[in-house]
Amino acid sequence: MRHVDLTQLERKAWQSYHEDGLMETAFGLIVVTAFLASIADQYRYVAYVALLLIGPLLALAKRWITAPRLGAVEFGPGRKARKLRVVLFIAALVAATALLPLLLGGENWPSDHPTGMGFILGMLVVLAFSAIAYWLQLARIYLIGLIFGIAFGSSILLDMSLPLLVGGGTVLFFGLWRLTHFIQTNPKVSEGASDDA
Amino acid sequence: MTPDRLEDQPAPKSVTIDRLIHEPARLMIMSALYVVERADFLFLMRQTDLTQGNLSSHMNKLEAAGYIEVTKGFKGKRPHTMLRLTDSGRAALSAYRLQMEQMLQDLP
Repeated sequence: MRHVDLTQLERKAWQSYHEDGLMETAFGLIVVTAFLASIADQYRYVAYVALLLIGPLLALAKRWITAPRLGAVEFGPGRKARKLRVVLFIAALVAATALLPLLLGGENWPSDHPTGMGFILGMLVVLAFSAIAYWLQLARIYLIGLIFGIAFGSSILLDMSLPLLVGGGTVLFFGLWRLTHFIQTNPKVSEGASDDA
Repeated sequence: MTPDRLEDQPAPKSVTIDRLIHEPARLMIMSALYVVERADFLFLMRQTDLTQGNLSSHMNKLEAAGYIEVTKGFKGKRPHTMLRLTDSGRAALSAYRLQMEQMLQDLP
């Protein structure tokens, strides 16, 4: 008997396409760059520019590193809808975060209540990454969200940016380790090359 | 004389299995394409664990049957082949699944 579970097959194909470590590397870089921006007074704008470049660099890395090894694929409308849900949810969360101080009692509320703000920010970060993990069906992003939630929350509680470096550095290291493993286990294959190659 | 083994018994006349899809490698290719919009040759090779020669041979049979659409082009100087399940291929795989389910349900 041959049973074809198409849902599982689609999920396997989707997840295999995100086993390259690039997403973790990008998330780690974002938080490490946020740390650099917080300590580089005069050159802060350089860090902001670097932050904006991470998205396009991730897309290029997918094209140069992942596609020549795993091939190219366009997933179905279900996946596109899930991606759209993530984008809309994150946009709503960012808007809610911007309005949060006003709702809680004015612009000075965050600086007057670092414990509360640290806890709220940490929870928001965990919530954002949980949404990404849930809709994109990538379980390891829950863990990344937890690490970043602790990093952002404690950086406000302790009034120092070092937790961002620790959290971002950990995820960056994990991402680069996965990327190295991916490159080693998935050599480039050219269409039309010999089967024995 | 009654055949002893199940596989020696003739299939019931009411059940017609699409033999083109029934072949394991082609079933894998069809299934892999069923769950995506389109994919290239390399992606299918990775997903199905077939060799280039094997995949190419099955791809030609499925294309000849009108189940998949193959678009050949170049990426730089290298050949690049995109594959997509046609509407008739999608319908054929759905029908195949139904037939198999029906057949397995009817087993005593």
